Amino acid sequence: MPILYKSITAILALTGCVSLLITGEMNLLMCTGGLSIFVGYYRFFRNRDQATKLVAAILAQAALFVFLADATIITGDVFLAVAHMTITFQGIKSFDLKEPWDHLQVYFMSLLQLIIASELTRALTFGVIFMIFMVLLVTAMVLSHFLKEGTLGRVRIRRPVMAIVMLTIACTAIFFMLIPRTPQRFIGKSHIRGIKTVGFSDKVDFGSFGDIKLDQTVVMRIEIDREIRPPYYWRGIAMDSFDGISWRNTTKQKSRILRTGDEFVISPYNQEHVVEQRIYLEPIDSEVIFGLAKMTAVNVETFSLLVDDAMGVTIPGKLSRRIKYTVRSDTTTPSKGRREEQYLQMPVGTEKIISLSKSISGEGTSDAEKASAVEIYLKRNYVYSLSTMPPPVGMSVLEDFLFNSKAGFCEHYASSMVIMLRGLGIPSRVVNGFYGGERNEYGNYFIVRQSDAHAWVEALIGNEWRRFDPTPAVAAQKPPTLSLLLDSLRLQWTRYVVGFSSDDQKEIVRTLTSPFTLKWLPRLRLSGFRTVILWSLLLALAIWLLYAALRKIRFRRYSFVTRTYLEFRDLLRKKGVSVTDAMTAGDLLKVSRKGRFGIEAEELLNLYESHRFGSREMTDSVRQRYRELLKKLRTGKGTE
Amino acid sequence: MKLTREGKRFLLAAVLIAVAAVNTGNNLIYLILSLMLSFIVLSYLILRLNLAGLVLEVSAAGPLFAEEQVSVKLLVYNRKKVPVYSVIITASDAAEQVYCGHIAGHGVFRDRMKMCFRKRGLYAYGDFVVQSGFPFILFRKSMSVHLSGQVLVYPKLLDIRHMIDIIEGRQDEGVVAVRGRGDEVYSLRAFQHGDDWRRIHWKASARQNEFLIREYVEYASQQISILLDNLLPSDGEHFETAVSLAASIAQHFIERGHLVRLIAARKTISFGSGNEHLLSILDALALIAEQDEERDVYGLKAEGFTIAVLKSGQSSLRSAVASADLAIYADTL
Repeated sequence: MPILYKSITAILALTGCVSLLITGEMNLLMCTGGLSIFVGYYRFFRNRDQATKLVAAILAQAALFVFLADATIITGDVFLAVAHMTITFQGIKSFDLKEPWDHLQVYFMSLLQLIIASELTRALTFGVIFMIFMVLLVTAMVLSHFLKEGTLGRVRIRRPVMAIVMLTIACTAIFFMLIPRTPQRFIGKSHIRGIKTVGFSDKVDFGSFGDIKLDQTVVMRIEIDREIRPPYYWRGIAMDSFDGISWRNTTKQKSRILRTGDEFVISPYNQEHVVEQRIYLEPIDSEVIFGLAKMTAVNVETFSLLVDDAMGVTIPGKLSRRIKYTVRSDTTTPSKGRREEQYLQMPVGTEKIISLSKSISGEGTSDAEKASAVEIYLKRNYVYSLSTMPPPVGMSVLEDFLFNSKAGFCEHYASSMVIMLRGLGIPSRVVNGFYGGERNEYGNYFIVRQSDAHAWVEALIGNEWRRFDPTPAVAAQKPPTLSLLLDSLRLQWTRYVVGFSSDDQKEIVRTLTSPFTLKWLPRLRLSGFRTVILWSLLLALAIWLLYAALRKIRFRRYSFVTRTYLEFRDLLRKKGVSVTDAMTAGDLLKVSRKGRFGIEAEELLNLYESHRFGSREMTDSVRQRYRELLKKLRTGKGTE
Repeated sequence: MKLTREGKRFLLAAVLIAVAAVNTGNNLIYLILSLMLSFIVLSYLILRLNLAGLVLEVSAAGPLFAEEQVSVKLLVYNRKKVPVYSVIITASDAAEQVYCGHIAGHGVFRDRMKMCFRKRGLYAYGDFVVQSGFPFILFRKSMSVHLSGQVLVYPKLLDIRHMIDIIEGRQDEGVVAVRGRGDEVYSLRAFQHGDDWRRIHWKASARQNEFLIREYVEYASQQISILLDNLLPSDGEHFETAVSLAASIAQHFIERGHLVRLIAARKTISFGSGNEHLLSILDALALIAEQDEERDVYGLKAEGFTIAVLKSGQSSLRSAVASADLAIYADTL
């Protein structure tokens, strides 16, 4: 067996195992059995004796017992236990590679590992491993063919393998784009673990932002359709109630929005005034939809959206999955609001803070001026710091920040300003979201990380919610070029592979068919019941095409004469004549005479007999005559 | 096109992955499914392309006889631009398969194949098969290859030495010297229009003052008529034996310089000798089939020594036995 074939089998086995390990979900203890792969393949390369069937069977049984223990006790997750078991099986199989079929088992096992990995990670690394797997699998399958023929090494296969690899990549891409997609998971739950984030639930403990401000994990990537001036505040959820320890969103009334055409419209908008943001949100443990304020419409693959009174948008039941959505925001018009008690709620023991706010704002100025004065005061007199200490006993966190430590991060600033504004009688709320992000020139999009999580203030000035950010600016570090390039690749991976959806399929079809679009045709909007009807029609069409193709393939093996004769039999059946399989051409002649199928049927059958059983030569003109007769019989324009 | 064992399992795996993809809506599983579908589709398409446009030429150094192992020369032409890989050429009568690893675009592959044609007749499209499983091991396809020209296989030659003594014994009984094409001068006669100038006996012509030509002696026993029974009703096995017998007798006597003719229903080869004549008789016998004869060809004027080769005692031709010098029944062999 050539060394190339052995090497490919070994690398494929390793590729499968590595695909699982990169997910970061494997229990390393349970993967130790996989280390035997190195010993097994070393022996295999050295042409040492392979394990007997008995030994392999005993080891496999042992692996099954370990699997049961793993699934019930150790990890308690059947899915992960299966993943661990495949690694162990790869180890066992490396000692039992006698026949070509054993190698194929290794390939199938690697394929299974890749499928399991695809449920555990969406990382770009998976894409790299998949590409390696694809190239190796094509090579291995071609080599397997030659091995089976017993001619491996006799034929130079580098060129055909390269050509087939290229074709496979192209064909895979085409299939990937064409296969219809299901928007939701039907059975089982996703094993993708969402990014742990804070600040985007109905209750947020004070100070929790400090933990994630050091986390460089990418939360989302955003493309904007037009150039707008910074700052960029990616609004998430607003908090209205503070008890001194945590912020809560007490908004009871949430409106369910149903899809209108392609999108969920939150409020009417003018197309010219809105900024369109295409957002690729990583799987985070929150249902919140982020976007620039004020969000007017959202296009996302879901059945409904919820919008609360504070303009927070959520997808019910989103779970931890990566989603792609488009938000249209009117950045020129602030949200309207009215004075409500919940936005004036104060925690106990804030008298000192109220008197401070009054001293800052002065008497007789407008709400807008008061708010600006507080914002500027906080910005100028306090230091931004992520290393904060717990407040002394008997002192609240805000008092500690405002009068004692005078150092904190966005939560301290925003919370202080809201309490100070409320102390001045100005309704206000804390808004949690993300601020800024790095603009990646390689792809022209924004990378928003956990460290960009931010809290700011919205205050009701008149009847409009105005944004204030009392947190002083912190100089951002520019990431290295390589990191940006890699992130650009990640975005492409997320956009075109992981996040590929039926919308993208429609877009491709639209682009391809745009030169042939008939403007007078009504535009088909596919949603809900219409989608079901369309898919049913497409399925019916596919079945019909398959039937026609199979029929054609079945017919193609016959000669022209036989084919025409069979078509004639089918035609008689369609015309209501009882034609059994046992009927000969003579029988057909009799029934066609009775059924008055005219002289065409008689001529056709005579021609058939003379060409099928006689030695009469077939010519193009006779062939044409066959077709004419069949056409006349089909259309019923023959002589009766 | 047949699914191999590996192909069946691969297809089953693809179906299961399709179910997983639809259930989860996970694009990465869709990606794996796409890869598997690509394997299946490419396997089918490349396999078809690989086997298309192949033309086979089969040739042999000498005549081919049924049930005789011969080594035939194979030439496989690839009419396509794209190369062909890993093709097996085989025939139902082949003693071994020929493996062809690679044929370049518009290229030729040459090899020899040991064959033992089981039956006489014309071998053409359908008798030679190319098969391949390239590029993967999921499908295997066999298809008849276009044969450039045809291969004619003569009937099996039988060992008739034990019959020859009988035939030659009966033959000697009826030897009569007649005019013909022998070597011995039979008589001289006046030259007639159409006679060969080379046969003029110049001395005698000078003496007689007119052109005289030589006539040679020929023995009637040197003319062998083989009467082959190919009349219906069909009796396949004995008919084949009869044909082989007729071919063997024809070969034996032609090799000994006799004039041999073949008489069968709808097929008659007149007297002749030499290798060319033997091949024409063998050509006829290679393709002869049982017929429903309307005309009484067997009633041709009896000339020379007539051997009737009959399928059996119940043959429709048994009436002709009376006029034959010898009758051989195939079912008794």
